[in-house]
Amino acid sequence: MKDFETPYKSINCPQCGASLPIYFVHTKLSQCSYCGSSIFLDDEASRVAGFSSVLAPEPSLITLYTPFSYSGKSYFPMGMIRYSYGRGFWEEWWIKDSSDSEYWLSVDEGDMVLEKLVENEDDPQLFKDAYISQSVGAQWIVTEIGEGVCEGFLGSLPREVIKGQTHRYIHLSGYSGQIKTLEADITGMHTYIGKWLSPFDIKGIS
Amino acid sequence: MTSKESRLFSIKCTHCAAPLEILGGGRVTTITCKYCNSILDITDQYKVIAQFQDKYRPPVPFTLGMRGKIKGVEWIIIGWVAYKTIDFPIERWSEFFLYSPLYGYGWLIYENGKLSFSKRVRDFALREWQEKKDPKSIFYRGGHYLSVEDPYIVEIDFVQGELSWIAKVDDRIRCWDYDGIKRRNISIERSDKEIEVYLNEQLDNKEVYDSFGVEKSQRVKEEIEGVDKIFDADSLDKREENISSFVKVISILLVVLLSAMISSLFIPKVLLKESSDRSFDQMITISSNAFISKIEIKAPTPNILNNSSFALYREGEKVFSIDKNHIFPRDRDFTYTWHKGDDGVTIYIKLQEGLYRVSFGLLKPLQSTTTNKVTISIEERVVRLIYILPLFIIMSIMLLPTIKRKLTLGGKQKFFWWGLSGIVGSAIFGFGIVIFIVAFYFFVQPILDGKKDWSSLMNRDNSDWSTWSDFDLGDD
Repeated sequence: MKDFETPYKSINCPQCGASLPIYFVHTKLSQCSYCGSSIFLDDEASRVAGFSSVLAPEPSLITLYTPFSYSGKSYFPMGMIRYSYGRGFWEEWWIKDSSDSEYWLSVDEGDMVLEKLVENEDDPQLFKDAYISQSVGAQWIVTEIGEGVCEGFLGSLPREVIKGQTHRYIHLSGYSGQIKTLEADITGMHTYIGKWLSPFDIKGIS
Repeated sequence: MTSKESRLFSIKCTHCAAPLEILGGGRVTTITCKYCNSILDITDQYKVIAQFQDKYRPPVPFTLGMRGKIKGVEWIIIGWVAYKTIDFPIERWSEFFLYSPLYGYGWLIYENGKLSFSKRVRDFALREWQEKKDPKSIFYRGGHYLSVEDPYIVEIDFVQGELSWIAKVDDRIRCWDYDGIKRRNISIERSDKEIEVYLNEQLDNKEVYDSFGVEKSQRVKEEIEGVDKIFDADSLDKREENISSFVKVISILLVVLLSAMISSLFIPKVLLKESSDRSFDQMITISSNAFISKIEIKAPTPNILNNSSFALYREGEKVFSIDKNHIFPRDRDFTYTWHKGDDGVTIYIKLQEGLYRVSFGLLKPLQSTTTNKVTISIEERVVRLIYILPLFIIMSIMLLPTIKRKLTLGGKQKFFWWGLSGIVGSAIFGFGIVIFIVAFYFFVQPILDGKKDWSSLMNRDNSDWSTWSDFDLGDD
């Protein structure tokens, strides 16, 4: 099995000087585990972002920097964003597999969806007029529309997030159980396609 | 944000002021007061949105707040919905809404004393199912599920506790049930607002009762009689097992046939191959009773074949003989000898193990030339593809649905069709090649060689075709 826990490189936190392991080449944002500062990685330089986040620990099947397996394949959680929808929250985990392909694992009350970022092919106008059971293209049907507020993040991320920013999403269901998610935030629209996972099939790797 | 444990909180019913504890996670939207049966909207200041007043409360062994383990995961019962069918005979059952901070939501179904666990799945190919319009058979995650009854409609009869949707009195849901093996069942439920798929799994009653701390006096034994709408899995298990056994038997036979076909290419052992222009005797040894032996006699012309005789002796006794007029033994297998126009004969015969004397005779010696000779060959351990190949094809076709199903389940449906197309294409290509070679050999090559014209070809045809359809006396 690949040694996931060996960082791709390490930098020093510009705030406190502590060592900050970077696990993936595409990392753009990382949180210092000592002082909690958010560090932007811009090419070879790094700078402190304008906020730090301290998320309350929550019971979860996924733990930062702890590999897990699903359907015989190993994954390594590198970072997590938590979004609140008022009475609850869901988490988006940025993970990579043993061949360094990156995915997003959405965890919402035991409901897990593993998705990969793909190119946008839908009209961003959908965020204005989408409705449940609407057909989108020949393959997809809108199943859920909602939004959440970013509460903060842990670990490393491939993109910038801002605490308190609104995150809107549209879930679509396709053939063969495929799931598509359209997301919109300050960085624009992003499209993810993937599948639902049974939480009972998630296995920890010791 | 506080932790989930600290988010468990108490409220007062906005209708009767009774204390209510909210146990579920963030996706819970309603709570039904267990005292006044008012449904409160958690997402809208606990407004009363409906009431289940005076509804029938079925007797059940579980209550809200009970905790226990199912499938190794600790769950808490946060809600309860009782359903009934609208058609006769009316059936009732209860579903308890479960919550786990790690695994989300599930259902503990209680019907006729049987318990099962149900969880929503989102990787079922729902769109394909919808397009097929009430298919009788479905596949999900390596399992085959069969519809054992027509779709039915149920309505909500009673509600208590928390739910992740707004349940109203007499809300109707259309259900499709598909039973699988290992006491599993797929349930597709369509309401006015959405369609959801659940995977149900029957549980061991005692384990669940023990885990949830149900008093022995409260435990209800499974009702043997009565219709069980959730599961009819036992009979289905047997059906599926029978299908599996059938497939296994066919698969084993297929392997045996395949082995026989492969062995036919390598195993045959030539005991004798002799070209002679005069009579001879020779000893051979048959080493196995398990196979048949093949005797081939080939002469340059029909006249020379008609001038020949062949016999086999074992311990001084004749076991087989043939010439232009007679065959021995004359029985079901050997009814007539070769035609006068034939220049060759092939005999398949079952011979016992032992030492045999081959006796080949010519009524008149042949003129001694290099080509004017009769060739006798005897092979043992022969497998006749003419019988095995069709059987192999038939059995392969019988297994196709199972192979297709397995590949489809593994998401390899395209592989199946490409594979099948490849096999059919290869067979057609191979057949075309054989036709081409035959045509080339018999028609084109002689013309190119300029050795024969069409009339001579036609004369030659008689003998050649008789060689092709070598007189087939034996049988397996």
